[in-house]
Amino acid sequence: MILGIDHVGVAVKDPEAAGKLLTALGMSQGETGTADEYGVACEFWGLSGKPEEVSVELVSPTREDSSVQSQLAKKGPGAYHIALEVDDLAAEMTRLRSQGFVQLDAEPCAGAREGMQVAFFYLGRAAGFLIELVQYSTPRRAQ
Amino acid sequence: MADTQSVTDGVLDILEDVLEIPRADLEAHPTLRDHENWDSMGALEILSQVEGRFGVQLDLREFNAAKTVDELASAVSAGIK
Repeated sequence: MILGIDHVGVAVKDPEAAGKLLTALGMSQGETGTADEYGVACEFWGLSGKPEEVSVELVSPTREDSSVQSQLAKKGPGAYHIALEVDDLAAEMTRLRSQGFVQLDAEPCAGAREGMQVAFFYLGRAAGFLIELVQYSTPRRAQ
Repeated sequence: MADTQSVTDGVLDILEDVLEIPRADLEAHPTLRDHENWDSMGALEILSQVEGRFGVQLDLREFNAAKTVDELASAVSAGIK
């Protein structure tokens, strides 16, 4: 079951410059981390600092073959995924796959936050972005 | 079961649509990543359309291993069987 929107992922080349823009909006940086499977560094920004808040994730590459390198090279910085918190990642992966969404990760991968497991899907040209399914070891939203 | 030529034709239809490249160019230059319009999101759209059109499910790594039109058509054919 989908519990709620967890964050919006934004690919950036220069997280410091992007962070200044979010600061000007009144947001502050919360958790940071890396997702080594994808070759990215992540900063989570929000307004309240509450764990259940929908946050903005600034995603920047840490290596040449980073998962965001192609998007940055072709389209430049911008939003590219919406993350949904789920209560059962394996079950939701099966459900989305059965509905015809393209699965990017054969198995769940470690996300950039503590206790975070993730899997990406492609939604289709009509939407033009990715969905990241997220499950936390301790859920952030009510079930 | 679809024959090899009809699979190749279907794959070319999808590539022509997503990459916005004339079929003749794809046939003349069949290496997919050599085309300027090829990018990761476009590749996912191609995979999505291939799966929908042929009723197959391809692993992303299997899809990415296909470097040319013929290799992609072969991967699709293998998925149909």
